[in-house]
Amino acid sequence: MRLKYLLILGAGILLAGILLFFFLWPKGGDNVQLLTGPVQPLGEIGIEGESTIEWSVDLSLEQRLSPLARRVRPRIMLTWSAATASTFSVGLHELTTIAKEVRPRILVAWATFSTSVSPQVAESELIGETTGVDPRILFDAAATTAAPHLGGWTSLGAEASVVSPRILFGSAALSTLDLAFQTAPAELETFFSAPRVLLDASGLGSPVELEGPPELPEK
Amino acid sequence: MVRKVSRTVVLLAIGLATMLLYGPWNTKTREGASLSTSSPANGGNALGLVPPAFAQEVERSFLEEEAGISLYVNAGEEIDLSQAKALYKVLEDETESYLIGTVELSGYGEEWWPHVWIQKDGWIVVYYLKEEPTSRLMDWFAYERAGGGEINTTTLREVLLSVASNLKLDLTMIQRDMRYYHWQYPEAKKLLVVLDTTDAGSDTFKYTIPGSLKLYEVSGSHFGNVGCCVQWSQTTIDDEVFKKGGNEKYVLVGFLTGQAAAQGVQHEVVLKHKGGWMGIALFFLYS
Repeated sequence: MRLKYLLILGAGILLAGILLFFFLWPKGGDNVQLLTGPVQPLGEIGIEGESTIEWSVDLSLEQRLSPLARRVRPRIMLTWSAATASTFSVGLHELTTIAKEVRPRILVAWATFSTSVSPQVAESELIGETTGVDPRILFDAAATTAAPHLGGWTSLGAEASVVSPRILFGSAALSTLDLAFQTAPAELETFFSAPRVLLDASGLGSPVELEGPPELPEK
Repeated sequence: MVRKVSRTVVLLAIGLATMLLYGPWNTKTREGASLSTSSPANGGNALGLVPPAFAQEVERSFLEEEAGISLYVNAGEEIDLSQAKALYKVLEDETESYLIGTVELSGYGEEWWPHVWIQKDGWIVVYYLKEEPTSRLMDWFAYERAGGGEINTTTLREVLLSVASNLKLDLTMIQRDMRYYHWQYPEAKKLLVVLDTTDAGSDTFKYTIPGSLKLYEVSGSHFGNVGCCVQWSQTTIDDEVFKKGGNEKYVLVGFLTGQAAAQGVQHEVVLKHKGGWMGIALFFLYS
């Protein structure tokens, strides 16, 4: 008789445990959690100090954003904002005049002056083309410092930190109006100067779109 | 009687075995992926998180390619791109549906100007490139203008609000709905900023990052407004110089690496300056 009650009791506990287990077990399905909301007090990172101020915020991603972002077409990204104003004034006179008319987004003209290497004279054909096309980026004889650095995104930062060129193009020649880029003189590769304009075209999934010179490496 | 009870027990055992077999240990998600059981990292939550469907696709968005810390919002109304265009200092691309470029952060040099992507249908994303430390968020000039105290704004917030204001968007809604996100650390859920300032020549504080945290980035923003000539300011962490500046006013940012970001040990931050005042803000990105 005792054995019977013990067994029934045991079975009951087991059943209750199973039911409890299933009720409390978190449900699958909505496995993506969007964390939003106001600032929460944090205690995880320990801070000891009399006058410190803490501020915290949750990070979250609205999922509708990523599909939209994938529709953005390749472009040349300016790692450092364009030095438009500072180079504008030292550009070739005719080019400056043209630039004022066409309002190029970025104008790098005679920027290699700082490296004491004489740049090329602006090509008259380029100026002619510029007038009509309103280019987003216009390089005028400014590429002489960085043509070798066509490695694209991953190597760009490392190379820039070593070489510190005035202007660095990472596959960015794709955007130009077929200007011929010279190879950088060897002495420039050790020239110490913070980059003024840093360009990288790693986001260019389809170089064809920008009609780059054939010798440029394809991604 | 004992036989009856034994039968009951056997039936219960079979039921239990069935439930164990088809129970939550083998839950299938809607995407068809099998979920693993809980891990300590999930804080006891039984769900093993898997990347959302869009993140599993091969193609990456341009934001995943190039962006770091960001602040975004959906304005809830269509944006007139022709009007927005004038807000850009540099316009990198322009289509019928969006604009991308850099927008000036008032009072700062161009390396502080964030990229801004404006979608015609209302999305605005303001971001720094992924090479930049999250501590670029610290807006010391605004902090100084506000007379110190709590942190009330960030550099990205200032630009977002400036853009929204110029576009005559609903600023109340923008401030309510804007969200921070780091595109290189999609699993990072928290950003903690610890700030200390001094005008007394020196100050110190300590921080400890528990080993249980998943830490993605620690960066810092050093500010000095020390005046002219032979003045200076310096932040050291565990006796190593983090940033040091000279005369006048400046903001220096950088990542904390190596020992300064080690978890499970206490770190000491020392602020020292001569003239004016200085501050240091440390940014912890973790989950």
